[in-house]
Amino acid sequence: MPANAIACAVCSIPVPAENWNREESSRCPGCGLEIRALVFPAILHNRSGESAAALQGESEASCFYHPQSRAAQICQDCGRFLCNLCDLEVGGRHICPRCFDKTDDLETSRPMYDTMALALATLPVLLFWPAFVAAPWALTMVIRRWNTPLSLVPRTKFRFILAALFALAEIGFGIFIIYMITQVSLKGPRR
Amino acid sequence: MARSIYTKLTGRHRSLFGFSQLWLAPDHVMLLQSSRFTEQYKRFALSDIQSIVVTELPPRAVAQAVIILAALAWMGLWFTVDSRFAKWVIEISGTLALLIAIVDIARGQRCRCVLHTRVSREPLEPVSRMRIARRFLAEIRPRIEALQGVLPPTLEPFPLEPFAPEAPPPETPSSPGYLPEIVFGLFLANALMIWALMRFPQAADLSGVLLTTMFAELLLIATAFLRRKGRDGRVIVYAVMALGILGIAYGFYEVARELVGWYMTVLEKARNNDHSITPVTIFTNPNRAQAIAVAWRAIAGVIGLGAAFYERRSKWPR
Repeated sequence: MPANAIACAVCSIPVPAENWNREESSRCPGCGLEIRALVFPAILHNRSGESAAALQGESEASCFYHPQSRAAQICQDCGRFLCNLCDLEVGGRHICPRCFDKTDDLETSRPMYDTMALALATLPVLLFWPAFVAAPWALTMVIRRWNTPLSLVPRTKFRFILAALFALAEIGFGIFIIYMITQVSLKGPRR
Repeated sequence: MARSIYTKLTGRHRSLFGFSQLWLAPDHVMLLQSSRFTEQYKRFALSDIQSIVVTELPPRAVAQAVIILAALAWMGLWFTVDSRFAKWVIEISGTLALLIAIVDIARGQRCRCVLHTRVSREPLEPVSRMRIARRFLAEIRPRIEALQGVLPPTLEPFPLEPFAPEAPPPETPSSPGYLPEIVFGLFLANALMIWALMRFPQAADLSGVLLTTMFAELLLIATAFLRRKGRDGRVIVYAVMALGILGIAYGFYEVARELVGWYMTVLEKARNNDHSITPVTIFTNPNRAQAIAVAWRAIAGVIGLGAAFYERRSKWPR
């Protein structure tokens, strides 16, 4: 099976093989810009997947998800029999599609609760009134999500701390306003 | 908390709504794309990387020179204006433009980097300058070669075909968020408040709350439409929201009219040396058009909530 062409990042014209892995830049034959292409042996390995083999007899084990296909592997997470189609090799382990979905190692996205809490604690202040609802919400989020894993990459809890401080300040200010209003209503306006 | 396995490969490449960054793990490279409130991760196993191509982009010397000269010419307007405020605006904006151009020159030549695997061709946005590209290649090349080895220098020619991306996997259906429901709830709440102001003009404090909630309504509608693509397949809900905008638009027209009237009243009082306070009041002079706008909002809210509930049940049954 032919490998995919190594193409220029601007004009997508294939880079000639004589320009691969050179220490200095070369010119792209398409756009004429300086180009550097590092090519690795993976380009020679074009592995395609195997198709599932049919059951030859009743004594053969069948795939859990495809009862007509012969089992070729066992899922190393849940123990189910898998045919070649269902066998997913991840990090040297063979797992089934259902266990693959549950794998934490392959998370593709995460919500950033610390940024959400900080936004809740700061942005509504611009409109004033919504801050009285958003500040307690921000504080609740900080408390509830404090131990939730944030990013996959190193990240401090600085935003959580900042959100909590802002939220507490807004709640304190809100209590102060309510106190002043009740004081004025009880004592009446000054003459 | 578990220690992260990642080390930084590049700095953050910032865009209007977030940033992207490259991180290195023992056996793969990860492209992190952040929209501030969520992060998306794309992993490329070092054993799967076929090539990395870096192409230098054409220099922008002419554009940079034009920007610097234009900024200097703009700042020269300092001598032609009398207003102190105008002088500050000119100087600050001119200095910013100058700084942007100088920083762009200092960061060096721009480039574009693409990572090829068997099934993908991924542009690496964080590798946007040649200086970053050199550091990135120097860091990653030994790691890949440690796993894969080196391509033999004398290689027999083998067939190459133009890159044809694999068909995307089928989308996993997931139920949308509740933003349209919140918008319709806000329609109803605002309709109620406007009706209350029209019916009980003495409750003038509601005007302050209504100004905020109407602004929030506008913001949420814009957000709902912007976020709709790829997230929410409902149709009726968004059609009702679009029709509801007609009633909202009239509401905003009334608010703008009354705010301008309030401003003119304050100006007139200032000219006559009158220090009495003029509170901001809106929707306190009811007329038929306002009543229709309120009813339109309320009906859109009720129909929208019903449609949202119906479409959610039919498209994403539990």
